[in-house]
Amino acid sequence: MSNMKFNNLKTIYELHKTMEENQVIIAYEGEFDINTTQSVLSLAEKNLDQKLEKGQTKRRAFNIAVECLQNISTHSDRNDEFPNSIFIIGQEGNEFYISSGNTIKSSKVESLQKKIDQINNLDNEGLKQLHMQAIKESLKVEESSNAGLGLISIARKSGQKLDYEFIPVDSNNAFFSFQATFVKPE
Amino acid sequence: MEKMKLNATFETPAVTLDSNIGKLEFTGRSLPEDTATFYRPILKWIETYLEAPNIITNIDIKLEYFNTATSKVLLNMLSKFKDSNNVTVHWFHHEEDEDMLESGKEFEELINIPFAYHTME
Repeated sequence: MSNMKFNNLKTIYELHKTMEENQVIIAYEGEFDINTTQSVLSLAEKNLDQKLEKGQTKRRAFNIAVECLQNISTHSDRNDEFPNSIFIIGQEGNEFYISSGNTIKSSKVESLQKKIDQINNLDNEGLKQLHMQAIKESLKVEESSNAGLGLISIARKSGQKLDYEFIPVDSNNAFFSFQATFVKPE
Repeated sequence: MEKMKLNATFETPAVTLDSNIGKLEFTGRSLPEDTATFYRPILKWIETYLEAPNIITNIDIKLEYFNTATSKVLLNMLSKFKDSNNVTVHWFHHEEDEDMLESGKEFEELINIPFAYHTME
């Protein structure tokens, strides 16, 4: 996988194999703006429609995809050096993986990590309380500071722990890999 | 005052706001990232409506999906009615959609106006 270039035809096959081996249903890598987000979301919905029964199950999975995608476009700190983010949906048997990766400022890592750890330590009732508190607070502060509402919502729809990792990319930036799991009910 | 009618899109609901019968209806899905652009004219309509509201106001929320950005707007929007009389929020959900029902109960807990729950097809 090293030294990949787009003018190298082998890259096409390697990417294809990697995606197949990792059971990727959809992957989008690039700059995310409102229009691309909507296109990716529409594609994600078509795929989930095929793989999940209509109703609560599909709605939960789709909701996770919406929040995950919108987290990327709202919260990533894109700049000329790191313009791209990635969104992936994968499937292994009954488990769906809805993942995102984007660059954020290193200064934000600690608070984001704390937020996710706090969410992961709560049960359903705890998440409900946190959601109620966060939505009240979000009305007091101005835009963009969503107080983690999206992450809380993902955790509630998923019912599983949220996985994440921060990889430093230079002294000021880190790559935030995030994954929510959704288990298709029997 | 003018009736407001918006058609549904992939990520915004159909909206009908009718001051003559005091009915506000939201149907479909609300997933916009930029909620301000979509909801600003609606919030403005509501503020004008509340200066001389109908004797009764029914707010029908028939949403299948909404994102967290929308939940902030909904809370803000419904809160505008908290000092009005004879306002009911009709919260619709698919029969098996316990998440949507729970969302309604959470809004009810946050806003001090009566909610009625209904199932939809």
